[in-house]
Amino acid sequence: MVSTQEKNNIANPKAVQSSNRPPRVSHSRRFGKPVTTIKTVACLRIPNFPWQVEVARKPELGDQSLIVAGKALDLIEDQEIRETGSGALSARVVIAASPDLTEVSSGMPLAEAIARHRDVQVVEADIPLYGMVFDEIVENLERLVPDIEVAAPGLAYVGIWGLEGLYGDDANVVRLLASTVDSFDLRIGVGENKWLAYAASLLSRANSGRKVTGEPGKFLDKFPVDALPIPYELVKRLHSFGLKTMGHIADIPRGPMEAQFGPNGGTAWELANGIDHRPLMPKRSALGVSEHLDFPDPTVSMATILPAVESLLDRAYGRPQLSNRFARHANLQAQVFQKTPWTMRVGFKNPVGNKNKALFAIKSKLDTAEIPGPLEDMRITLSGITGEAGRQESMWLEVKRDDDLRETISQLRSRLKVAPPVYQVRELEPWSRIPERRFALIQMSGSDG
Amino acid sequence: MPRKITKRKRTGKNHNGIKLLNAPRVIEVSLDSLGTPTSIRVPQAQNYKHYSVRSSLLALEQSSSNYLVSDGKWINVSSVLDLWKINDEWWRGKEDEIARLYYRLRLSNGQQTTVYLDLIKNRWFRQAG
Repeated sequence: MVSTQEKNNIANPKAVQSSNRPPRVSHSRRFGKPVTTIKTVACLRIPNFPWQVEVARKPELGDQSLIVAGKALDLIEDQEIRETGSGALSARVVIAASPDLTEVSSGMPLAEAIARHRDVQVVEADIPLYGMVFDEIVENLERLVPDIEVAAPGLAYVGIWGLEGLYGDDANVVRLLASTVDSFDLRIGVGENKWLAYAASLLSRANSGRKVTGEPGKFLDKFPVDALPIPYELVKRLHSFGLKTMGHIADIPRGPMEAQFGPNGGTAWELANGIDHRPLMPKRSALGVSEHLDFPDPTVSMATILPAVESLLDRAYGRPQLSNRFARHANLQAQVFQKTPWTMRVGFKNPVGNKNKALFAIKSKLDTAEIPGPLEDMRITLSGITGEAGRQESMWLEVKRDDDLRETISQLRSRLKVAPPVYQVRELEPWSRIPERRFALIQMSGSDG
Repeated sequence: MPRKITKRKRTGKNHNGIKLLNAPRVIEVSLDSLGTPTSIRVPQAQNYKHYSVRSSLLALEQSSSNYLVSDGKWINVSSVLDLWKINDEWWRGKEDEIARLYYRLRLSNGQQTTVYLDLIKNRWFRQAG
């Protein structure tokens, strides 16, 4: 629902700029007086997060001009790539760039960025890694605040309303949030909505916060349009029309903006006026069990990959979280030698409560999957864990023997406090000319809890 | 300043659950003028922290004449039974290429063993399997 005040504001954007946009007000009938329900949002932004992760991984990159490039997450563009048959240079975009490349912005086509800086080094984006690193940060934050929305790796919104009684005022909350992230250059912005919080974070200094107070229109007036979360092509078009700051957009009525630039033009107009109706969508924590191993050598051989999958499933189903419970899907992730990481998701037809059935489903999918190159490691995450606790013992001797062995290993682990060194000899590549590639000992229990 | 993220390294020994069987072990080999092995020596074990453990393992090894003993003594080669070369994965570049010259040897104590010269690293290893 759009309030009358907002309708007036849309009809007369100048009014928005010249007067404070009133906070959303809900009238409490019980007490007969209005109660303000401003939901203050903090934006946690790690600028150039992929670049920061790459530098953290390889510190020698810190002194170099670097572009982290990846595939544009645009369906239309993907379709074009499929039609042309190959991933052309123009299909890739800049995900992040080192701070010295001031003319390069994220979303810019890679070809354009390279044309501006010829000697720049290009690194392929490792999106799963960025996600994993940021998940760790978010996990730390979740110990302090419950409502966290992860918008992208390096960008999260935190609902900080109602925390005054617990942590004090906004400044204290910001200080607390900043203290949880000590390894990255973190910027925090606080505002009445997600966009204002994001805009405030653009002006904040390293590991500190900034809050939008007073008139949002005035605050945003001098902001460049490049800061808008809209497609790069639209930013270029706005520039070509001479619309270089938010103030320029806010001076135009919404209608002409939408007529010229489509729905994104309307979005740009709203944001330029400090209006953002997007709700905070907190992350739903899902219970999952994850296991990981490194391959001795990068491999594409199913003879090596399948025993690894089996070993990981064995370990995963041996974990207490999955004890007598079932998983609905499995996610396989792997680093690929000199290529972007590979992921595969396997949904089980029925929830699966043992290794063999899960292996059968994964194997069926692997048979038809195209592995992009030699895999360096593998991680399996079983998720969608159900609440069933029933289990029927098998009358078949072989299954029972496996169960007994697993039970014994479990008891040994609890007694020794470490994973017992129980291994199984498995064929890897028995045809290999290199003897150490033929067989391996695969641990029957995980090395960690 | 971003902290350093340590990426997992493949050391060839610990792969978090997978251990290779028949992994090559370093060995010392003396050669004649033609480059043929004449004697071999297993380097003394360095990994045992306690002398008693090491000495008991040594005694165990010595009790069986079928095992190469890591006592640091040279053992003469009686004959070269076989010789072959493996060259693989040359497409992975010079550093990762596999080029080995294998020798199947009969030692003076009657034992047979397989050693190879890593032609890339120019080092000798013994290997079962």
